[in-house]
Amino acid sequence: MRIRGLHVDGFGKFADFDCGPFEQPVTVFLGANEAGKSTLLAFIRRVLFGFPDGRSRSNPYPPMAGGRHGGSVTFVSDAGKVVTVRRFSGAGGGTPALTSAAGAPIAATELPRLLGNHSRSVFEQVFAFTLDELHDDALLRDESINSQIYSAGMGATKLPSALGSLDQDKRGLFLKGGSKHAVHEVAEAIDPVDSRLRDVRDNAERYGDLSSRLAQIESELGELSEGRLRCGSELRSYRDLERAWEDWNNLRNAERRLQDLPEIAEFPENGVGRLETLDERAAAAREELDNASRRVQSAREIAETPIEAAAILQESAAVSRIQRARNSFDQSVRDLPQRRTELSAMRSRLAKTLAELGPDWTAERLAEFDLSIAAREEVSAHGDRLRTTSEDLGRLRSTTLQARKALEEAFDAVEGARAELHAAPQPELDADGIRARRLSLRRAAQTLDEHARAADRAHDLRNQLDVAAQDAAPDQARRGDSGAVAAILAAFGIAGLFLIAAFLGDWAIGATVALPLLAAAAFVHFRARRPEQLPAGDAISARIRHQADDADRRSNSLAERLAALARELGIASIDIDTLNAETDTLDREEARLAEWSNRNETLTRAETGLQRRRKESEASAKAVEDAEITRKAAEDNWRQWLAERKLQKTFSPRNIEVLEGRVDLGRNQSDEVGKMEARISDIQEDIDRFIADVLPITEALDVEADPKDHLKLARTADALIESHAEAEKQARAREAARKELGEAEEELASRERRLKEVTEERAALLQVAGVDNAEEFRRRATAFAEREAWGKQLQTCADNLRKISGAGADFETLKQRLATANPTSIAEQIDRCEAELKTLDGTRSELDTERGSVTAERGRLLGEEASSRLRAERHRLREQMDGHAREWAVRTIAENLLKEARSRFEKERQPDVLRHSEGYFRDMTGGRYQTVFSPLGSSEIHVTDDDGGSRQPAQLSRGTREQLFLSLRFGLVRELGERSERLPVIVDEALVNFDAERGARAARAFTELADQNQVLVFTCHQEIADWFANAADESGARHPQIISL
Amino acid sequence: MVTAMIRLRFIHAADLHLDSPFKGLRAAAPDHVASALCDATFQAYENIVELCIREEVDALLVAGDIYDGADRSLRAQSKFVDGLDRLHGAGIRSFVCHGNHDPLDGWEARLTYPPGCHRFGPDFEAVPVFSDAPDRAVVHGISYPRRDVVENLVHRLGRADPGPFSIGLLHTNVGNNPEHAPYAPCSLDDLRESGIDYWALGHIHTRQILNERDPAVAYPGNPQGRHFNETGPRGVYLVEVDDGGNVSPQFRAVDSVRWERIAVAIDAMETEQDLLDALHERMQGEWDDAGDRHILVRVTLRGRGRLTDFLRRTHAESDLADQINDAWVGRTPFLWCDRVEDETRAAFDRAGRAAGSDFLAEVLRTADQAREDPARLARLRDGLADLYQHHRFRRHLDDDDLLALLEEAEMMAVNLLSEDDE
Repeated sequence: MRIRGLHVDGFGKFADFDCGPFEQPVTVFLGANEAGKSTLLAFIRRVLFGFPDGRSRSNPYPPMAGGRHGGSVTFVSDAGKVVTVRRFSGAGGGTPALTSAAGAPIAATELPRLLGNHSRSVFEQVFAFTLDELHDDALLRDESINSQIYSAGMGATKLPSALGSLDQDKRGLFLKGGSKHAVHEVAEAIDPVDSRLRDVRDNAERYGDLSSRLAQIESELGELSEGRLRCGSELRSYRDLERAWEDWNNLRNAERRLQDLPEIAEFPENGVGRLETLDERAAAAREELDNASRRVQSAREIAETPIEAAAILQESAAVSRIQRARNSFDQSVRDLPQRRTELSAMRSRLAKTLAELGPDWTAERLAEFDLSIAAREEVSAHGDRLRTTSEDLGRLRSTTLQARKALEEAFDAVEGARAELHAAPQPELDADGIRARRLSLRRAAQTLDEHARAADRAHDLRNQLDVAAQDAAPDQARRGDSGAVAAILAAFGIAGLFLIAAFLGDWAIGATVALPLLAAAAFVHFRARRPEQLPAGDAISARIRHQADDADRRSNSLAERLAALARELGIASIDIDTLNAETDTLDREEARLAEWSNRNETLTRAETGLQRRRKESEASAKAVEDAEITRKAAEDNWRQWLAERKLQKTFSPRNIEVLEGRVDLGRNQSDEVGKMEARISDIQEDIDRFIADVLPITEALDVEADPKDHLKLARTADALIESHAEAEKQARAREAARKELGEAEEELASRERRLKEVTEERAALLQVAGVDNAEEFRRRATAFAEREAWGKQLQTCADNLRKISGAGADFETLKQRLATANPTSIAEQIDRCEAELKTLDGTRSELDTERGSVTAERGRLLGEEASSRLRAERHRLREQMDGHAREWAVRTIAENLLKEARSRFEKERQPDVLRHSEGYFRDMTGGRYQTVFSPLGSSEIHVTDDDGGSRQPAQLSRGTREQLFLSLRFGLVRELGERSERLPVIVDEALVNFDAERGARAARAFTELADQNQVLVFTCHQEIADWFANAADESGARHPQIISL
Repeated sequence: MVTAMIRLRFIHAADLHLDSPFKGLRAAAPDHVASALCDATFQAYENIVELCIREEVDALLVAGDIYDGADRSLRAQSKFVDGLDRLHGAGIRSFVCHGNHDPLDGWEARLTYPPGCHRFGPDFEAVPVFSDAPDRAVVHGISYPRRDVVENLVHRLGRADPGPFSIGLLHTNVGNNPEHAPYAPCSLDDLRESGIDYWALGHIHTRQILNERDPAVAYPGNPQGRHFNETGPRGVYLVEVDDGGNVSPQFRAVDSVRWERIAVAIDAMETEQDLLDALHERMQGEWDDAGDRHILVRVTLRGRGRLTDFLRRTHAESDLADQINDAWVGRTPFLWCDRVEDETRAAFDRAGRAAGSDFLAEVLRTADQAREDPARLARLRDGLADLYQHHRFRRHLDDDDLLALLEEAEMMAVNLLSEDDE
């Protein structure tokens, strides 16, 4: 890579500053202090690698002279590609914009590759450095730079950061003796888990102990149960003696009393009570016998009393009918005259209705007349038909009139449209013709435009050929001319500004005049600076000439196509005016065609309407005829219906509906008359039947009665009813008394039998006891009861003792034990047994309690879940620890790999770098120092002098140390250059501390290096510039380009 | 068609490993997940008991490693006996033999086994399945008297009585599979010549049927996976034997927590959102497939694409796992992702780079020399002694372990040296 030139837009003291082209291998920028040498070095660094951000402490070199902060560097890559990097201060160091020599943009991502993928620090430490940076041993101190240098050709620029990252990771994972690493933290977390887990595992032992103790407790409880059973049994036997003692004494007493009482073999059970009961029953039987005798006498008296008016009982059925009809007879006698009056009025209303219907109407005809719903609907249907047919006929007649009127209007419309069409002019082209011609015109316009552009391009290319043919002298002259023109324009502009402002006092007008002139001056000036960018040389001229020929051929081809299109359009030639005129003509023709088409379409629509109206008129007339026929048929049917019912022919359906109302009324009146006549007949019949019932009874009983005096007859009937009721009451009383007499006589006989039975039973009771009177009976009863009581006591005591001992031998054993025992000895034995049992129970309770707690603890141990969780947690932590260990192991091995590879690599690669440096250093020092080396495993540089003494850089003089560092950089530059882009070496006063001899030697080294890497030297010392000139002379190299600042 | 009558139905289970913890989990799980994991082996055993009762089988056979005796878990043994009690109550017999994890001389709580359960001793015994019909079916079983049984126990059996249908219950490594501990090894031929009709085996945790018939030889695997090498459905065999002695084992899953490894290829993904969408889609699929089981998921990202550099730079694995868990761990049943592993690789021509002359080639050559030179490998081991010989850690690293670490270290070095400048 070689820098060809710089353009500073604004940077430090420079603004709109151009520098270059740099055409020699070595370029020396010679300028006094403050001339801007360091500024230009910084400018190159920043345009290529970016501006420092706001936080950087480096000099920002703000654009003090104006312009935008930044500019461009143009260089030629090792591959010969001309690239301009343009960068201005901005975010992220400013975004670079790359363009090719032809101004084509190049992706910014290409820049690192073009810069050899070297980092900013490598560029600044190795390639572009100042005196201070050369003097400083940062190159060796800075780990990253040091490693960059060692690994620059190794393809491992990330080695230091990789080793740092691995070391940092390892320390976080595990550090021997440390306590703040992941493995230690996990181990610390495992300890309490392990401790708790041991505790939990002890539970298993505890469970075993508990199980053993539980078995022991069960055994002890078994022995206790046996002892308790034995003791309990003994206690129960003594308690039996204690409980039996009272019964035993009573039994002995009863036996003695029974021996003292007389023997009575038999006595009636409950004898005294039974005797007293029999005496009471005999007294009651005698009293009941007296009551029955009195009842018989009373009933007999009633049964024998005679009945008054017994004869009327023979007429009970007739009296019963008279009684039922008694009330209705009074009602009928009152109603009969009133109903006859109502019947007369009804007959009058019926006669009137018949007279209204006509002379030939009778009640019979009213009944026969058909008033059914079907007949009424038939009349209604005739009415509807007559009304509908009349309405249809009227509507159709109206429609016929309207259709006839519409037909006349349609005819007029056709005539009008036909006249309009004949009045319009006939078009010359149809629609397809117009479309085809418009397409041809458009194609012609397009071709005409292409032809014009092709001709312009051919003309431009020819002009470029003329320009390219001119050489540098005319170019310089033109630049001068352009400069002069620009100066004149600028002068006119400024002068105009001042003159107008002075004479008119108006700076705005002055600016309006002056600014265009100044702009024109700027344009002329910059245009004059552009020729460098125009293509030049034979190859470019040939390419342009070829392109111009192509453009000519295309122009001719398009001209021929234009001629063909003119013939197709029927015009002489094609130009823009002709095309415009033809287009206008075509537009007018198209409008004419549109108008004619519209009118023709209107006529067609009118004719279609006329035909439709004509059809509508004919259909309407036909419909009227059909409606008249329908109407006639409906009228005939109606008249036929009237004739069938012998009704007047003039009746309309509406008349018939009125007639039906009248008939319906007359029919109802006739029905009412009939019903009233039947009712009067029924009333008369009821009166006659009542009289027929009363008269035979009065005759039989010889009672006076007048059948014509209805009031008197009614009172007679009432008397008969009352007399019959009294006779019936007396008859019922006699019947009841007769029945009572029979029952009373039966009761009397029953009482007599009962008294006899009681008397016999008492005698039998005395006989069973073996006595003949009640006194003796009671004495024997007392003796028998006492003997019974002692016997019962004897039996009860024996039963109680058996309950305690059981039957058979046990009972006898108990009696024997009782016979030999006494209460005091029994109580003593009971006390002894109870004390022994209490002791046994206490022991059992303690064992039961212990068994409960042991069982509960065993259950708790069986159910505990802590061990599950602890083991899971322990596994998880150990898994974590394994993971950390594995990560640590991987990083440790990776670190070892990298270090071993670096060690071996340094051993094999380092001599290449240092061998180059060694040669440069030996040459610069005139052989005073022979070797430069770096001990393996260190980042130190050692040199040996011609006496074999070894020194480190700090032990060298300033000048010699700078020569060493310069040599090291030269070695690195050569080494790096073999693998990547050869960047220019740019030094700012790097030789200022060298004496003349070593300075000249250093200049020769630079000159030698310049064969591969461009060298730019900034200095304020003419002497240094001379060293480079002399070095070129001595080595036969090209002379350095000297640029004064 | 004439259907053969079923003579015998039983469940063949093995390697319950009750109350033994899950392995390989580094991240601390949420409480409800941790609780489910602790109970998982018990729940799987509970599912076996339920299955026995629901299917009304005649017997449950357990082929060893019921619990890890070394853990001394009372809970494991107690729960096991509880289950057997339930089976006894339902009229189902149980036959149990012990393996290397629960040998007869190991620690054992004093628990009372139900009368319906037969635990085999240190010598083969023949026990009828039906006490009232001893000629229908017989179980021949043997337990490990101690942990380290390396004897071929099948030789002790001799030849089974050809009358009743015979089942062999044994914890063994058939074919001495080198991937498993060599306990009581025997060959398939040994089993074929034993006269047994169905070998109910235990020890291998992956279910497999080594021989279809004459005799049928089957490992049901463990009923609950316990680490990420035990993925997929886990369960038992429901075995039906017809009157003709034909055996048809049907696998029934009983696991309560399922382990799944999921590989996701990033090749076609453009954005991180694409990756998240793909992950959630896969999680949904796993969740749907697992039914009512909980799921533990480990995700491995593979392939190479636009996201390769993103993953390498940001180490987003932990964030991805968190995002999965945020969305899934709260569901019922839960899905918990313990880790997302990044195995995406930049295209790397190792052979070509190793033949080069740059520093990376030197690194690769250095690694190759370590692989080939036992002395260099030993030096690498020595370099790890600070930790691997540390009293708090102390792990043995064999050559295979070292070579695996070296492989990983080499890839790490390559990645570090080729990282971008950003």
